[in-house]
Amino acid sequence: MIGPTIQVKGTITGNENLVIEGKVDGAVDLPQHDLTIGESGQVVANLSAKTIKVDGQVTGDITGAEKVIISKSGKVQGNLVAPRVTLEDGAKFKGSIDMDPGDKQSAAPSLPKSSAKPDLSPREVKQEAS
Amino acid sequence: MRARRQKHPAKPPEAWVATRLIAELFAGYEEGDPITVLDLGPGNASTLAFLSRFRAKIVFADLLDNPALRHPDEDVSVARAKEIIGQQLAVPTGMQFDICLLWDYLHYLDIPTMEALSAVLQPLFHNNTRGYGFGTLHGKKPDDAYQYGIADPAQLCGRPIPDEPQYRAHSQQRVGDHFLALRIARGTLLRAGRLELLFEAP
Repeated sequence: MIGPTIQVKGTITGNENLVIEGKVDGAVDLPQHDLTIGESGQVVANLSAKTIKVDGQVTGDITGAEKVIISKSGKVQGNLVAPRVTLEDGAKFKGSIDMDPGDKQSAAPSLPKSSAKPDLSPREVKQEAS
Repeated sequence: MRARRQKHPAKPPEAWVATRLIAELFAGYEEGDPITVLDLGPGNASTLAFLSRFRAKIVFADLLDNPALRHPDEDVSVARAKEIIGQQLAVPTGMQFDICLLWDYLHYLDIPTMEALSAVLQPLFHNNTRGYGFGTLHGKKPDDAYQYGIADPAQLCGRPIPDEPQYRAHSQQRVGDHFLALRIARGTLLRAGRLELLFEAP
């Protein structure tokens, strides 16, 4: 854990889960592990991990191999890439979210298949517990 | 299937509004389809949860997070407004949008800023782009002040807006004359003095 009084400038890598409650300026890369930005965490960095949960403040790009969760106390400005992304009510987010990370960005627009109305009937949406 | 309210772990929305045009907005897009969406508002939990059924790429622009757009200076030129808006949208290079969620944002802008927004958005749209936003009845501000999101195809959900910007209640005629990136295709009456508008590429 990076405690609330600790400040780090640079790149953090590792093979274990990490909780950041302090200040980080740089990059954090934890492949195959979980990263949590705690409520007092203030991060200006690009983040990459298996799962990332933001309870504090992040400015930077966030890449989650499995999922990214911005909790009700979280504040994020940046670009998110993950197959599953959850914003809790109260979370603050500005930027882009890519939930199709396997598809390379192209300028060609996706065209509707037909004008017929699809079945958009509501279904149970998985919400991450806070 | 009857629409159900989504469950949220934290503070729930305060307002629920039935919509007829959201289903039409997403007509032709099936679950699992790729889709690109531009939302002029800040990140919205309900809208994100709704869009999770697609292989979605979404930009939440939070347009009025920029003080220069929230409180436009009368001396700012359209050219300068375009520059500010472009920086605020921060759209990835080469990205075009299938759907644009305008919500009330056209009514928070004065005419020059609306024209600037239209000019910035135009190259981000393609021939099949659709938009969704709100209109006003008889030039009057709606009775509610909520930030809306999509709960499901039949419902919007609203949360109070902290520090609501000045609401200019533009008529559909004025929107049509100055916001040229999309054209109003149809509108229906909602509650609380609102119209919902479906936009299409011109």
